[in-house]
Amino acid sequence: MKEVNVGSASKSILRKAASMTAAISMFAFAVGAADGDMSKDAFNKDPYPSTYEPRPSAEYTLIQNATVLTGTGAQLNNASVLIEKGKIKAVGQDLEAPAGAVIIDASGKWVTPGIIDVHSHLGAWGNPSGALLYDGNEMVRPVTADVWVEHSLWMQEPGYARALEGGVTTLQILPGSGNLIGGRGVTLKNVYSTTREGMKFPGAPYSLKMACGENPKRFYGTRGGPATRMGNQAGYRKAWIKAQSYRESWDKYEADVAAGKEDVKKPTRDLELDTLAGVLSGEILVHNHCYRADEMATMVNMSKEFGYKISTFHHAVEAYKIRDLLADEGICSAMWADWWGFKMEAFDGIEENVPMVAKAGACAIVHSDDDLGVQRLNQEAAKAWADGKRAGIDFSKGEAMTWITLNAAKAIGVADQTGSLEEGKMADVVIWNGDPFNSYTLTDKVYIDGALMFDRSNPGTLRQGDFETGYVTKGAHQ
Amino acid sequence: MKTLKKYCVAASCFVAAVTGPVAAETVAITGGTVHTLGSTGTLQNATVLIKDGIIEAVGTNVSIPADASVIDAKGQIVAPGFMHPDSILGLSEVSAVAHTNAHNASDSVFGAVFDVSYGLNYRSVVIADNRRNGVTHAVSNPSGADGMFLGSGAFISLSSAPDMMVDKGPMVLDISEGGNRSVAWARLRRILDDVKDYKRNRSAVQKGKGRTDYLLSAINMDALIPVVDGKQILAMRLDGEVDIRHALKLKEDYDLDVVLVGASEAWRVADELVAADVAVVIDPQDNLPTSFDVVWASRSNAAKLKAAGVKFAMAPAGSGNNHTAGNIGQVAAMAVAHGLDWETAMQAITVVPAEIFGFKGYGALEAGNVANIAIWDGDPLQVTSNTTHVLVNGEDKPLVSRRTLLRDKYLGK
Repeated sequence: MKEVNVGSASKSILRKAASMTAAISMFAFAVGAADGDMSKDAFNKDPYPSTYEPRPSAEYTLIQNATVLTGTGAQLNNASVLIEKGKIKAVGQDLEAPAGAVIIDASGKWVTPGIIDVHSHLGAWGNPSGALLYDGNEMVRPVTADVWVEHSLWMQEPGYARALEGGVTTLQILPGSGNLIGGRGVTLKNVYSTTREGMKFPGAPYSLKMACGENPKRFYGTRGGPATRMGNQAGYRKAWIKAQSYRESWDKYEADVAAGKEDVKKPTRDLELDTLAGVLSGEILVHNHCYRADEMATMVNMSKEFGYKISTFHHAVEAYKIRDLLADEGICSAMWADWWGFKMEAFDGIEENVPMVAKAGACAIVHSDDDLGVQRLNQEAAKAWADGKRAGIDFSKGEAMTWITLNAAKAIGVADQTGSLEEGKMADVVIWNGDPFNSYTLTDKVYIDGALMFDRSNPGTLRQGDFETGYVTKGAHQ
Repeated sequence: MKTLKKYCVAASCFVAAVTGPVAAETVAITGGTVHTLGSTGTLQNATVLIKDGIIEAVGTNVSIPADASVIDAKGQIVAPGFMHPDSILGLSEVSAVAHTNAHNASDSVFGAVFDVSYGLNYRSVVIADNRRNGVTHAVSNPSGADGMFLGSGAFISLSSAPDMMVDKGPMVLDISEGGNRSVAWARLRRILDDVKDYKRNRSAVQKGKGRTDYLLSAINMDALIPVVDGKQILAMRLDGEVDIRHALKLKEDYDLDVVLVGASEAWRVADELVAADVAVVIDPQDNLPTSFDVVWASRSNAAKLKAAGVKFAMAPAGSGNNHTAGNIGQVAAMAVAHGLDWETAMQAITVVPAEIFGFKGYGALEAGNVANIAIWDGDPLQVTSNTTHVLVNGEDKPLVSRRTLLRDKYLGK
């Protein structure tokens, strides 16, 4: 779920409630890896396939004279980015404009990859707040691996467009963290669509949201359990044992069919176990809400016990305490720059968490989990970067930019497609009106797959969700 | 002259700084760019002279007494410390750990009579951490009570000393606790009428001879007498334009001293706010339609209020009311990015909050004011800037907190 300050003295109660629920959230995403090829799979693993299409774009766009942070850690001064048919064609100095190219003079401006938020609930907890749009946490039993958060999304959520104006081009939407295993998350291209499938990132793997600690035990403690952290652990393990058995039955079935055996009985499908078995077979990435160092280490052991890989620990406020372990295991940590203290397991949060994890060679990510924070992930990364410097942990701005771009793309399994300005990748690009580490800087233009999706100087590019229509004039929120 | 040294890098110094007595002394901050945020404006290479916790002089030609401790601020920014106008600082350590929270009187007989002053915890690690990030004083307010009146807040100094409470704060009201809009405003007016009647007949009521149909209990009405007398500010939590208009009419009808807190749609009624001489506290982050009543939330709220002449303070709401209160500069920068001038933004997180809640002697770097001062290595509104010194009541506090100690522990320092 979104984490929220229980003690909030002001702002609407509704928002508070929304945030609390969200903090608990978890979800996993379905993967487009399954292509519905029935000859390969025993059942269709992609029954709600992406229908995303890149929006129309110029054949060539050349952004010139910019300071470019590539997303791979580099900073190029007075450089250009060439986009060809929605893909990055080249990045560097002295690029020639192909005939007919749209040329953008970005003198004094900075260019980065589109920002990626690996922990969002946009569309699952809606604005306006209210129970009828609270669809992020299926808190009816501790293991709900059968639910897919994409089936909760409200496509009119105004927060998508706000996030776009903050430079966010890709979002992983997760279910809440109220459950031990909360269901599948989904990765979205941040474009307007009236259907959920129209935003789904083509080919992105699904994820599974799991949650450690306080949230599940707090809720289920008075509802039949788990009531303790040991109860939480037993709950995950029992689920994985079932999943292993389920996977074995399918493996045997497929082997028997392949061997040409007669009268092979097809196992009965179980929606919950489909997802868990997908994790065991490596198709679905585990995104695990987990604050404390001791619990994260236990989760690592459990992943080895059952033979799966943890992609990312989310809200990992104590990652700094086990940063070497996280580096050794190749697990990403998705962190806030400075949130702490809103619950016991967040009490040891420090401002240098992100740079300390990064310095250890582990994959560090700055995430939002918040409909306001998602609009300024550049500032949150800047904060962590500066706090690191203060403690003697020096990173370049180029390196810090990876915390909200390429590392995030790796965590959600789309790094071969986006997250950096490298040839052949989707042209998800942000032009900032200055240094994105400067708090007065705003986005100027945001491109997704080479298409100009937001242009601050052109109100015509403003997107307004249907809810706002008739209440407010377009752009009044700016 | 002796030079103040930062020697407190270990836990022992931290403890000493928290519990040690405040020595009467003279401090001179020299060489910095001083943003007084008052009538003197900004002074280059200026001196701020502090005596016994009070600013004695600010200028470019201030003579420094021989016994003064000197803080060299050359190349740095000197500005008033931040003031959070609607926090729970000192009232909560861990939000989800109930016994560490003292800002809420729900499920009790305390409504308007609730007062957070007993709850203040001067040993709070949250206070020490936010001070490190430049917050030197705050209004700490109740978050809930029995009914729509939440009780009185407290004006606190982030000194980490037993006498951190400076003064009583405003009476806080949350209109959303009063029922739907029709019910809430009718209830509020009825309560104010009751309190006026009760005040006139208090003696009879106390003897059991007066009306018995008041909506609130006598203890809660007693607490509201200063409000109806216009002697205690009523901080009204509300956001939407419709409610703001009701609040302005209420102020006029009952002659109250009102500040609006939240006020996401204030810019829609800016002229009316000016005419009514009502100040607001806003969160510049607000730009989402969080409810059907709050659809016009806008990042340019601050810039538009400034243009219209509305007096306003700014602060982060939500979790920014405590653990991350130090992000007050970041949210002020958001207002700047959306059209507000820097000086006004700085004033809205330093001078104006003290002014609109009536706390004299706090705010601008001017002679006679309390020396709550932050020195920065860059623009205080930039998230990349850090404090180099923070003075509370003239005392140069160590930039150490439980969080920095945890950091150092795990960095092997």
